[in-house]
This record gives sequence, C-alpha cells and structure tokens, in this order.
Amino acid sequence: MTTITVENIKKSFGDADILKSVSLDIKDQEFTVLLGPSGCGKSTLLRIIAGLESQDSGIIKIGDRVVSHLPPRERNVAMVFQNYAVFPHMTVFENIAFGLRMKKAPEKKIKENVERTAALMHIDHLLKRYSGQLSGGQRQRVAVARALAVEPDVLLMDEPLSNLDALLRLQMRAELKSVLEASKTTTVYVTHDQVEAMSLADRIAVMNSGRIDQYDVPDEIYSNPATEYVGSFIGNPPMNFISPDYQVGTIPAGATQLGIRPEDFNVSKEARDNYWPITVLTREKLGSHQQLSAELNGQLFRVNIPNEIEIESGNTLYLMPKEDKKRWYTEGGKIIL
Amino acid sequence: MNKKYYPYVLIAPSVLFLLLFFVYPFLEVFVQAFTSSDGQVGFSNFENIFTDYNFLPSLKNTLLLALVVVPVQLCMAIGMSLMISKMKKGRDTVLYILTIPLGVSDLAAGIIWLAILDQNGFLNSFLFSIGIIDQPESWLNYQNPIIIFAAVVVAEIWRATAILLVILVSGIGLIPKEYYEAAEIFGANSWVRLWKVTLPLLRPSLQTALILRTLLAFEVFAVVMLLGGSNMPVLMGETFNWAFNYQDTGAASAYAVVILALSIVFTLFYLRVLRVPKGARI
Ligand SMILES: Nc1ncnc2c1ncn2[C@@H]1O[C@H](COP(=O)(O)OP(=O)(O)O)[C@@H](O)[C@H]1O
Ligand SMILES: [Mg+2]
Repeated sequence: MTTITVENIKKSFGDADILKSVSLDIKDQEFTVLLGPSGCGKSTLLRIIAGLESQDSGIIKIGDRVVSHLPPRERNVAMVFQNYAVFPHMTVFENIAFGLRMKKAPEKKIKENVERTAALMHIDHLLKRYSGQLSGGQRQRVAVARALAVEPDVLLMDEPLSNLDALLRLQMRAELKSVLEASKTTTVYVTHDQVEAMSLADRIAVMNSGRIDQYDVPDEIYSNPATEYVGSFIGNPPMNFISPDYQVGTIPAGATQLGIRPEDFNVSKEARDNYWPITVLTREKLGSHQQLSAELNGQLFRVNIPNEIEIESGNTLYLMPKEDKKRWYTEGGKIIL
Repeated sequence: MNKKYYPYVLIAPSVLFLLLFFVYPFLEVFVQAFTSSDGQVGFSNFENIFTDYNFLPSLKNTLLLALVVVPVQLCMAIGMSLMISKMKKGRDTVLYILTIPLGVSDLAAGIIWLAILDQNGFLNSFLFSIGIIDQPESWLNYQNPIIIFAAVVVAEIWRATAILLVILVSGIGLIPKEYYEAAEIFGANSWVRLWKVTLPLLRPSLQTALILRTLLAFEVFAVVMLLGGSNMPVLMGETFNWAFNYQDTGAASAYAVVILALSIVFTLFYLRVLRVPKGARI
C-alpha cells in the first residue's frame, strides 16, 4: 500500500510564497499529474515529496510513514528528471544498476532487474554505451529504466517528455502509459502540457500559483472545472466565461459568470428566440471541426462548430449555450454546484 | 581581405613571438645538451651530470617533493573547492583571499617563509615569547634535512595550492546539480556522491590541475634555494649552478632536458590514468 499524503505544505523562497498550504491525497497505484503553467510551483512540490527540497511547514507521508524530515535516499522514491540526469561517466548498464548497487542488492538481482527494465524500455541493445553516445529519446528511456529498476514505492517524474521532439513525445507518452500501468507504481508526474495530463493521468491536480485548484479525474476536470482558472487553463480553446447580462432564464444566486465550453453551443445560421447574434471575427478549419472566434457587444466567444456550417468572417451566427453544459461561477471564480 | 583569414592574421604576432622566444631557445637547449664542449655530438653532457655527486640527491629531492606536495595539495584543493562550491554568499571573497599567494613570486614566498623560520624569525620569537623554548633555535641547518624538507613542503603548499583550487572550483561549477540529485534519490550518501559522481565527472579538471601542478613542482627552485640552500639540491637548482656557477651551458642544458623528460613522462601518465572514455563526457 503506497499512498502519498501531502498535508498543508508551505514553501517560500525569500519573499515569494511558492507553495501556499498544499494538500493532496494520492491513492495507492494511482497516476497523479501535477498540471499548471510554468512557475506555479509544480517542480517545487515534487522535489519536496522527493526530499530534494525542504518544506517550511507541513507533512509528507508515504504509506503510513512520515518522511518529511528524511533524506531522499530513505524515502524509497525514484525520480526521472527533465534533463534525464543520466550519469555521463557510467555505461547504460551501470546507470540502470546505480540504485540497486546503492542498496547493495545481490549481483544476480542487479543483472536481472537491469535486463528486465532495459528490455521493457527497448534499450537492451545499448547497455554497454555511454550516455554521450545516445539520442535524447534513448537517454530518456535510460532514465525511466533506472527509476523502474529499483522497484520504488513511488515514482516521481518532472516534465520527462518536454525535451523530446513532438513525434517522439507522442510515442513515448503512449509507451510510458502502458509501462507504468503494468508496473502499478504510485506515480506523481509533473507537466505543463494539458494534453499529456489528460492522456496519462488517473487524476489531475491543477495548480494555480502555489495552490491546488482542483484534484480530480480528467473527465471531471474537463466538464466541471472547479474554478474559472481551471476552466481557462484546460481545453483548447479554453472555456468561455460570459457575463450573465447575455443570459435569459434563471441565474443561480451569487453567479457572476457563465462558463461554457466552445463545443457546447446550439448553433443556427438564422435568428431564433433567445439565441445570441454573434459576429464572426475569424474562422479556422481544423479538420475535424472549425473553430470560430466571435464577438457580441465586446464579449469575446470561442466556438467550435461542425464542418457542415458554411460561415465567413464578418457573418452573423446565432448561439445558445446547451442547458446541461452551463456552469456557473461566483465573483471569486468558484463553481456553483 | 577575406574574413576567414582574420583569426590567422590576428593570432600571427603571438605565434611569431613564441616561435622566436620559445621554440628557438628550446631547440637551442637541445642542441647544446647533445653537443659536448669539444663540439662532438653525443651524450657527454649527460655523462657529466649523471656522474656528478649532486645529481641523484637532486633527482630524489625533486621527485620526493612532488610526491609529497602534489597529493597533499590535491586533497586540500578538492576539500576546499567542495566547500567553496557549496557557499551561497561570499564565495568570491573567499576565493580571492585563498588565491592571494598565487600573486606572490616564488622568490618572495621563499623570503616570507625564511622570515618566519629563520633563527631570528617570527616562529622563534613567538615560541620564545610564550616560553616554549629557552633560546632561538636554528631549524634550517644541514643537521636537520627533514626539517628543511618539511619547511619547503609547507611553503610550497602555502604558495601554490590555489592553482589547483581555482581549476577545481571552475570544474565543479560545470557539473549540473541534477547528477547529485539523481545520485541522492537513488541512495548515495555524500561520501558516495563524492566518489561516484563528483570525482569521476571532475576528471578533466583534475587532469589539467595535476599536470600543471606537477610540472611546476619539477621546476621548484627559489623556495628551496632560500630555505635549504646547498643542503637540499633540486634539479632546477643544479641547472642554475651548472649554468651560472660552473659556466657549463652544455651540462645545464642536459639538466633542462632531464626535467623536460620527467615532465613528459608524468603528463602522459596523467593523460592515461585520468582519461575520459569517448562519449562519457558531460
Ligand atoms: N531554489 C530556488 N530559489 C529561488 N526560487 C526558486 C527556487 N526554485 C524555484 N524557485 C521559484 O519558485 C517558482 C516555482 O518554481 P517551480 O516549482 O520550478 O515551478 P514549475 O515547476 O511549476 O515551473 C518559480 O518562480 C521559481 O523561480
Ligand atoms: Mg518545473
């Protein structure tokens, strides 16, 4: 049973409060993604879980063990770094074996584990090479194999795919997903890429300048963003936030914003009752659908519509949000349930 | 003029200067070393110096001095550079202070240490004033070769450790911190990190530092001359003696060639032992 409990972790560097009381309950064998823009404190939180950085206050538990004040090597975690940190002076074999050697594992087990994880990551033919003789993608594989070889309680990854080119990233993402699903290791994975988060995560923690705005399964994050911030960070294009002035029908008490996803509008080319007449500013054909940006009295809309609707910029289109897709937000940007 | 010639044109004066004032005298030394006084080409100069009663002691002293001084300085420099690299504030100041002796010529260093260790020196006055000795002692005389040797060792360590230090500090600065973090995560304590990460990744800097320092150790002269005089002959001192006291440039050149040969042997040794395999660089 390897749960991770993060309790009220605070951290500042100088005057800057980087983590403002973060709490997180990560379940056994779950794959959690910390998602947020660059600089929001994801790496700092991950490094505090790893023990590479110390918290100002708060508690980290791995399983039932409080590890907040233990050095990294006593936490039984493994980590994959953004720039891989594959030791240049050791062969691939020695890199993967490093953690086991440190634990003084018997030679037979070292050999077994190295060979197994190398095969899993398809680098078994590279074991004698040095990292200077590997491509970025291969180094990445070595870093993952090194982490898996120690059979850690917890696997931590900090933007492991961000240094790979787009195509390789897609391929590695799929591969990582299947490898990690099979390994059943509790994993915390940091990324700023929402697509990566959506495709890999069992659960996503969306971070907003030192806080976790929402921690939930990807579907919930997408369809019920807990805050305006989450709605506008996730989805491409993001959720529309519309002033209730445009709204007909009942508005829940305290609501100041209507949140609606670009694909959740009823669309018509002719005027209809309660439909908003919007002016199309730009249209982009994206293959599966077309994406419009449009405007009504200064309020900007992003709308995804089917390819069949013929429309040009400058035209007027009539919109109505689908009733069951409407989400309401308070003045402070919190969802009203 | 074509732009691609610029670097060559601009570097040309330095190259010419070196050819004129370094390579030419260098070749001249070789010619003299292998030319006997009657103009014959051969090894007579070497026979002369090898059979001289001072040759073996000077070779022994030089090698012994390098063997003691260089490893001690290396360990000190590694320790100091590790500490300096961990400093967040004031590290430049500390580094400047530690490198002050580098700005002092070896002759001046010898004079400083002579002023300390001399019969009327600071050490004697100090020990006398706190009552440990009853009268000033003459440490640096021929009856105490070990004390002379130790004094030279101390002076050399004081004078030239900073050369190793600056090279190692910059070398450590080149090692990305992720390697230490990875090692830490995968179970290495700080001692293991030093041996398995820092030192292996520092090999290129260690190589440079050791070659530089060892070659300088073979040229040790002024400090030894001041503290030991004729009681502690070294290769460079003998070269000086043959050139200026015995007026025998052939023999002096032969000494110079011996020092050069030693330097080459040790350089090759370091290049070999601290070699970084292809593809294993940072
Ligand atoms: N060691 C440090 N010293 C000072 N500031 C730091 C340090 N580490 C991170 N920060 C600052 O903390 C903020 C969050 O950093 P980080 O956790 O790396 O963000 P993320 O990984 O989400 O991009 C950034 O503004 C960064 O400049
Ligand atoms: Mg980061």
